[in-house]
Amino acid sequence: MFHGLPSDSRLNCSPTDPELVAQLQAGRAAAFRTLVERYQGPVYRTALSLLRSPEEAEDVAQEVFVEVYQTIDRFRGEAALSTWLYRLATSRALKHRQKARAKKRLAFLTSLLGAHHEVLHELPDHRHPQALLEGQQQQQQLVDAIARLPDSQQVAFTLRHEQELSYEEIAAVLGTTRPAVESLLFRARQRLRQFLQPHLV
Amino acid sequence: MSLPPSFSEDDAAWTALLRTLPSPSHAEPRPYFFTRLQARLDAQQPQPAALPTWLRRPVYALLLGALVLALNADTALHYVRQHRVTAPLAIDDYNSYAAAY
Repeated sequence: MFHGLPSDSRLNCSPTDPELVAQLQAGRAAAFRTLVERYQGPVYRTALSLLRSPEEAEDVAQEVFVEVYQTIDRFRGEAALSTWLYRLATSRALKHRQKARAKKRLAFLTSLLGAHHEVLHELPDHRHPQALLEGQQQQQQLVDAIARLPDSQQVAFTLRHEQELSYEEIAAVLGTTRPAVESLLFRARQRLRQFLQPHLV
Repeated sequence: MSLPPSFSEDDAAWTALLRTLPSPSHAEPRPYFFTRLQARLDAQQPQPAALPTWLRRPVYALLLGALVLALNADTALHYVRQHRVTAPLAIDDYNSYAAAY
């Protein structure tokens, strides 16, 4: 099991994950509530760290649990329940982000044209003045740099350093090996250094 | 904020660095998450239809239609046969009545 689980999931009175899956497959509604309460935090945080938007993260978390509810009959227990949930959360969040980026690109292209389709030479700056403060600016640069990582590197980096999963757990989520995860993390860190070095004093 | 100094990457240093980000590592969804999820699930449930599911399949609907027609045809044939059988009897009755008269 993952280290990031809430402590109440380890209480003796609550069912273990395989028991919970069996109860869900038997159609017990209370088991679904237990599952959601146990995993809503980790699933939400994983989505949040990839999307950086609480609204979008909640939307993704809901999508994950809807999918679990609808497809639990097909879950054969080859991977841990938590691995399956992290996998759903990361893949859904990445899909969400791709859609958002496509929309953003379209909006940018539209913004280049004015109401009468004339080209605007000066794009408006929507940044909050406080974001220009040095500390926050550096933090934002780090967030932006992480967001610019390739998807697989970003997922590995986020699961390792924000969700604090082990290399083996990340390998299970990504369906790969531990050396592959190490390689992804190495490349992610190298790339982050390249992004961030010019901005640091 | 500063990056981990050594080239040999240090997990703990990166994790510590990420903890300084505004996104809290213990963030939770807004309260009543389960209630909102339940509402979403309910909204996705298929609406009950006026007709039973099996009847909404064309093949079953056609079969049912054919069965109704066949029963009607059988009733009609039965009526015609009965009419043919009873008609001569009516003539006989008339003849015997006429003879008696």
